Amino acid sequence: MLVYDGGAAGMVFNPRSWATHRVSALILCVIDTLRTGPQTREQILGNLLTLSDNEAEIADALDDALREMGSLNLIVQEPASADQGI
Amino acid sequence: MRIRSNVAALATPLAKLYQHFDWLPASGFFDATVSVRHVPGLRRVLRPQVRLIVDATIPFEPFPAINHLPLLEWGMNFALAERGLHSLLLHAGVVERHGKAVLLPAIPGSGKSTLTAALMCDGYRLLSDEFGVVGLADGRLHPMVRPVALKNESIGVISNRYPAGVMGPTFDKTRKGRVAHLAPSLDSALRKKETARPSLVVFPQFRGGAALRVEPVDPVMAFGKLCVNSFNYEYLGPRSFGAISRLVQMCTHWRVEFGGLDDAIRAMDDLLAAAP
Repeated sequence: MLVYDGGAAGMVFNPRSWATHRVSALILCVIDTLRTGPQTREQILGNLLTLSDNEAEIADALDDALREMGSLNLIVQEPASADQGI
Repeated sequence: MRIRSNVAALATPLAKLYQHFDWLPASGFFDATVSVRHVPGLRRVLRPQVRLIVDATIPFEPFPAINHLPLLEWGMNFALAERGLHSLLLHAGVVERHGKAVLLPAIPGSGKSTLTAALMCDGYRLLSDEFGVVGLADGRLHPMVRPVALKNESIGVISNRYPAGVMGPTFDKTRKGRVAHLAPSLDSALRKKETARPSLVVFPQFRGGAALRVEPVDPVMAFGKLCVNSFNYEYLGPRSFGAISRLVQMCTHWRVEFGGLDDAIRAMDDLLAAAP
């Protein structure tokens, strides 16, 4: 996935769909987190909490971001299990 | 690009508008051969028409013969847009001064060609009034120097303001209204192979009588507008994305709303002076 990080927002190029999307700064953070490989929601949240102390607020925003990323086919949710993630 | 025609009336304006260009031998390799030819038969006498042929294809319906030059210029644009797949092609005017290039991406009616023509007549080097050609390897802007196509009121505005400019004939009834072409300046023609470093992206918007308004455009917004503005973004896919990323990083981005050329040119001078 190609990313242009504009700070407050960014652009991503999805190599599977060849579509380009404008995305929020939070989605850019999630993409950055996922570069090391699939992760669970909790693992992603754990990484994001280094950015803010407000866990509830970040968790809500993360769920919105994951939904948006799913709708754009930027991520695929794997079946829930202990060692699998997004 | 090779031009062929059996329309005698095309020769004089073509020679005038391309007076600073070299004439190449007809043999050899050409990216495309664009022909404007009379439609044969009785129609040639009753209602003369001309047809555009790009190599072996006929992309448009015939035009009234009197509109030979606009048809040829649109045909060349068509051929370049269709075949220029080795570069990112933006719908934009491009000018350069002091080694810094300005990209003017815009939709029709925004004043892009008028402003491009005015900047050229004010000493900027013209790279194109239609195509921003972004090199995929180097990110530089490659010239596509051709006459500037002016429409309707812009023709009088430019010819009155710059009487020394070399203007071709006016074609009154084309499908885009009145059209006339302004020849590239000598400097632009002589440097037609010299690339330029992009420094400034300006989204122009002419609004009659409006006061000058210059606003920064957020880089991500500029990125999105450039994607939409490209002729071949989807074809090149990730290479387009890379080219636009680099372009956005190299430039500052502005929206300039103007009601007159004095204001617009002054704004462009100031923005370019401050650009990296």
